[in-house]
Amino acid sequence: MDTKSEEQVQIRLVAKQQKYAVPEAPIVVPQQLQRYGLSEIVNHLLGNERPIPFDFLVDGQFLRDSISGYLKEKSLSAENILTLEYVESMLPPTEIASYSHDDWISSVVAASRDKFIVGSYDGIVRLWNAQSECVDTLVGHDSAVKCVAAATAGGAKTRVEFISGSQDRTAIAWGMKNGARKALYAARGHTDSIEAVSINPSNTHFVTASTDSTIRFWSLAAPKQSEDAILDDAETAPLAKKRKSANAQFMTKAAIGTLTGHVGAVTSVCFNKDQESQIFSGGWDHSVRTWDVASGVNMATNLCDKVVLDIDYSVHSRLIATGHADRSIRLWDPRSDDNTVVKLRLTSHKGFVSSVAWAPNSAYMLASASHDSTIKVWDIRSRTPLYTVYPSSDKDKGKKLLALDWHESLLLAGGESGSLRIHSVNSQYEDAAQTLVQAED
Amino acid sequence: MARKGNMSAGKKRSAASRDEKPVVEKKEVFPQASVLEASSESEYESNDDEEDIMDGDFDQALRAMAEDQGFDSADGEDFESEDAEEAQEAENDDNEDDDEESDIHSSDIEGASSDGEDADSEDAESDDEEFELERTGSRSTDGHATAFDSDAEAAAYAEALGNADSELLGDEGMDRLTIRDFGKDLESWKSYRKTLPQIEPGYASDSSTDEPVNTIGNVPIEWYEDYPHIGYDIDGKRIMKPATADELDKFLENMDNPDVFRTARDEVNQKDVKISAEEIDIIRRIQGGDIPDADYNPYEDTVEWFTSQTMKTPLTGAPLTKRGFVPSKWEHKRVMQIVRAIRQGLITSGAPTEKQEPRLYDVWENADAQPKEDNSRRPRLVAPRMALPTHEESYHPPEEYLATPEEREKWENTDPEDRKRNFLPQDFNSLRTVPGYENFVHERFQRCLDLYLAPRMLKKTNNLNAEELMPRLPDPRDLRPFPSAEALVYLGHTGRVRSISVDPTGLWLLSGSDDGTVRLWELVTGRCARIWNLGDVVHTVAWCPNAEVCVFAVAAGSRVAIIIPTELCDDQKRLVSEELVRAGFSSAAADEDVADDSLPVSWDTPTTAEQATGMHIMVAMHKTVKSVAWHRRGDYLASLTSEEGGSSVLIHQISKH
Repeated sequence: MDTKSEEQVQIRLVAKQQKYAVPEAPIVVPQQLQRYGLSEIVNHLLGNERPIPFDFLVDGQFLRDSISGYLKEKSLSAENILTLEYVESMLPPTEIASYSHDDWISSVVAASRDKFIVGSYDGIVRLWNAQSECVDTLVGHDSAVKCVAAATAGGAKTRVEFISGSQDRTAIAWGMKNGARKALYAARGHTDSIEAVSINPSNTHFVTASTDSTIRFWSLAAPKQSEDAILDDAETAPLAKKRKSANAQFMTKAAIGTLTGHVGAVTSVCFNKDQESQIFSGGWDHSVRTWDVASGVNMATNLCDKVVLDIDYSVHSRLIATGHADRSIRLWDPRSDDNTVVKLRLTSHKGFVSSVAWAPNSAYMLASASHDSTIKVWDIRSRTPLYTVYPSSDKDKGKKLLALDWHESLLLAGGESGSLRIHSVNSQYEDAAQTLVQAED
Repeated sequence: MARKGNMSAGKKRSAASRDEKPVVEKKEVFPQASVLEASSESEYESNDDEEDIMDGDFDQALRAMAEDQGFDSADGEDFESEDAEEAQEAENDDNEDDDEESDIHSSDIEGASSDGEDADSEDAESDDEEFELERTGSRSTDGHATAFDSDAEAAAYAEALGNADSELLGDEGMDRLTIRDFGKDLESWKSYRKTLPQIEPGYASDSSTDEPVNTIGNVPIEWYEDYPHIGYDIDGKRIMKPATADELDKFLENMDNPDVFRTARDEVNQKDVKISAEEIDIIRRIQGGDIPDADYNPYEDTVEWFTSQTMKTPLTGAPLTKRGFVPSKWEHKRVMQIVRAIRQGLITSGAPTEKQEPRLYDVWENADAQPKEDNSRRPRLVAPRMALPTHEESYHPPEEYLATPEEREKWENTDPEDRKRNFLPQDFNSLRTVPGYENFVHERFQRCLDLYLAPRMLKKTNNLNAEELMPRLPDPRDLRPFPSAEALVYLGHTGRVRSISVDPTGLWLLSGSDDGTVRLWELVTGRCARIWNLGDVVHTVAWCPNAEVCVFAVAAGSRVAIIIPTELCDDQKRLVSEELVRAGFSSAAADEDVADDSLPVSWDTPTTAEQATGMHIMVAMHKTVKSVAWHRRGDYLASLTSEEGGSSVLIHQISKH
C-alpha cells in the first residue's frame, strides 16, 4: 500500500437538511478522498439504496479537490477535525425545449412558467407558452428589440404585461386591451437605442437605460392622453411631423426623470428589489452606479476596468452580479462603502458574458450566458462553475448567447442562433437551497 | 552707608598691618591714600556731572526732534544750565547726608578718646574687650580715611560747643586737625611733608641683617667638641675656637658683670650674647603665650582706605579743571553729529519697528493635529478595582448565604490559600453589633502588595503580517496590454475586408469589403445591422468625426459616397446630418457653376433608390479612390486617387462643392 494513501484525516459530517443528517461523531477517512468518495460515505451512512450525489462544503467553499489538496492549499494541519457540510448535489440542467426564431434573440423573459416573452432583432416581440406555441406576435418597433421586462402579476391594475425597449429609441408597454394584446403606449425620450428596461417589484414604475448614456425613469401607468406635447416642447418640436415610424400611432409617454452621470452607453439597469427607490446600472464607462430614482442622485459609483454588459441583483444574497466584456462575472456588495466592493470574480467563460441572472430562490446560485454559446450555472461558494451547458444542436453551436432568464426552475437563453433554449434546473436542489436560505434567516 | 563693607575692610587692614606698620607711620601714610582717593572721587563726580549734561543734551535733542523743530544751541545751553542746577542739588543732598552723619562722628570722638586710655592700661583691655568691640563697630562706620574729615568736623563742632570737650581730643586728634588743615593751605602741607623722617628701605623694615659667620648649618655643635675649630666660614676656612678662659676667670667675670643673668652663650659663634630688656620682654611674652610685639594692637581702628563718602572739601587742593565746568565743545559737536544722523534716519532706535498687526489666535489651530506619542508620559494602567461587596459581605446576609456547619467545617479545614473566599458570612442583628474586622490591616497590606508588585503594562503586540506590508500587486493577467483573446467575429463579408471604422459613439462598426458591400455592425454583439451594396470594391469607409451628425464616407471604385445611416440617428441628428449634406448642393446651385467633365470631381445626387438607402452624395472622380479621410471638424474630406498615371489628393468640402 502506498504510504501517501495511508494519510488520514478526521472529518465531521454535518447537514443542514434534516433528512440527510448523519451522526456527528468524527470519522477517519483517507485524505485522498474526493467528492465522490465522500458522497459514497454519506450514502453508506444514510443507508440509501440508490446513492444520492452530494456536494461538500468546507468553510463555506465547495470542495473541488481531494481533502489533502484542500489542506495543502490552506496549509492546515491534518490532525484537526475537519468539518464538512454536505448538500445534495445539483443535477445538471436538462434541456426541455428549443423554440426557433427567424432572427437573433436579443432578450428573453419568463413572465410565468407558461409565458415566455422573447424580443428579437427583427423588431418583433413574441409570446410563447410551454407547449411550444407562439401565442402572440407583437409588431410595433421600427428596429431591433433590445430588451424586454415583464411585470409581475401584482401589477394588474396598470394592465401593462411587459415592456420592450428597442433600438428605435422607444420602449413600448404591451398589455391586454379589448381582448387583444396591444401596445398601450410608447415611452419616448431617449435619443439612442434602449439597451435595458426594468420594472420595479411593485409595478408602479420602470427604468430604461440607453446608449445615449442616460437612464430614464417612467411611471408604468398608461397616460390618459398622448404626452407628445411635453416632448415636443422640450426637444423635437420641428421633427414631430416628420415621424413616419410604425409606432408613431401609439400614445406617447414622457419620462418622469432622467438620470445622467454615465459617460458611456448604459447597457444594463435593475431595481434594488429590497429598496425600490434604488437602482443599479452598469455601462460602457466601466462603472456600476447606484442611483436614487426619487431624487435622481447618483449615490455611489464603483469602477472596475471592464465594460459592464449585464447586471442583476439578488434579494437573497443582496449582491449584484455583473457580466463583463473581459469574460468574467463580478459580484459586488452595494452596501459596503470601501472601494473593494468586488467580492468575487468568476472566470470561466470564453467570450463576453452577455447576461447574468440570479437564481430566484437561492442566495448562492446564479447563471450566466456568454458569447461562447454556453450557459454556466454557478454557486458563489465555488470558484468554478457547477455546470456548463453546451448547445445541444449543431445550429446553436458557436452562436453567441445574448439573453438569459432564470424563472423558478426554468433557465431560458437565446441568442444569435434564434433558438430559445429552455432548461430545467434540479428542483431538489432548489428546495435544498431554499432550506438553506430559511435556515440562514 | 556701607558699614559691613567697612568692617571687613578694617579687619583686612588690621591683619595686614599686624607685622609691618607702626602706629605712627600709619598716620603719615593715610593722608596720601585718602588724598588720592578723594581726588579720584572728585574726578569721578565731575565725570558724572558731564555725563548728566550729555544725557540732558541728548534727551533734549530727542525732545526737540519730537517737536520737529530745529535744534538750537541756546536750548542746549539752557539744558546745560539746568543740569548744573541739578548737580548743585545733588551736592546739597550730600550736605544733608553729612549732617545726618554728624551724630555718628560725635560717637567717634568719644571712641577715639577712650582709645587713648586703653593703650595705657593693657590689663584692662581684656576686661573691656566686649565693650571695645562694640565701640569699634560703631566707629568703623567711617574708618580712618574719613576720620580726618569727620574729626575735623568734630573739631569744628567741638569749637562751636565752646571747647567744652576739647580735652577729650588727644594729641592724635590735634595732629589730625593739623593734617586736616592742609586742605586749606597747600604750602604748609607740603612743608610738613618734607619734615617727615625718611624711611630707609631694607634695614628699617628688616631686623635680621647680620650674616652668620659659621656655615656648618644644622650640624650639632657637639660633633666639633674634640676639634680645634668649630666650623667653616663662607670661604671654607676653619673657624678656630677662641681660647677659653678657665673656670676661675669665668667666675670672677661673672661676679663683676652685673648682666650675667641676662647673658647667654652662642655656641655656634662661640660668643656671649647679652639679652636686652626688650628681648627679655619678648621672651616673657612668648612664654606667656602673648603676641611678642608689645606695640601690636590687635584692636586697632579700621582704616577706611576707600571711602564712599563725598567729602565736603576734598583732600586735594588741585584747582578744578576748565572742562569740569565748561560744557564740552567736542561733545556738543559729537551730539550734534548724532542728532543729524538721527534726523537723516541713519540711526534708528534699536530693532526695526514691525508693523503691529492685531494678534489673532486660532483656538482650533492645532485641533486636528495628532497629539504626539510620548512614551514617557503614557498613562499608567489603572489598577483593577476591587470587587464591590456582595450579599455575602453583608452584616445581615440572607439565610442562604450563611454557611452551614458542614460548609463552615470545610472552610476551616481548607488551607487559607485554597479558600474560595477568605471569610465566612456572618449574621448580626444590627450594624452596631458588628465587631471590628481583624484582618483589615492585613488585607490592606496584601492589596498594596498586589498593586505594587503586579506589573501593569500595556503590551503592544505587532500582529503585522509580512504579506500585508507588501504593496498589492495587480494580477498579471490584468496587466496584459495586448489583445489576448478573440472576443467577436463579425461574419458576413464574402470578399476581403479592406477597411473598418468605428463611429464616434463607439457603438457601431463599419466595414468595407471587396465584395462591394459596406456593412454596419453592432459592435458589442456582432450583428450586422445594415448592408449597403455599392457595386464596386470598397477601399475605405470612414465615419465623420463630428459627433453631432451621423454621416460616413465610403470610397468605392472611383466614387465617394456620403451616407447617412438613418436607423442609428434620432430625428434631431438626422436633420442636422441631412442639412449638412444638402448644404453643398444649394451653394452649388447658387454659384450657377456648370459642372463639366474638365473638373476632376463631380458631385452628384444619387438616384432615389439609392437615396432611400441613405446615400446622399455621390462624388465621382476619374480615378479609383483608394482612401478617404475626414477632417476633425467633419466638413472637409480628403481623398486619395491613385492609378498608374499617378496619384493625387483631393480635398472636398461637404457644405460647399
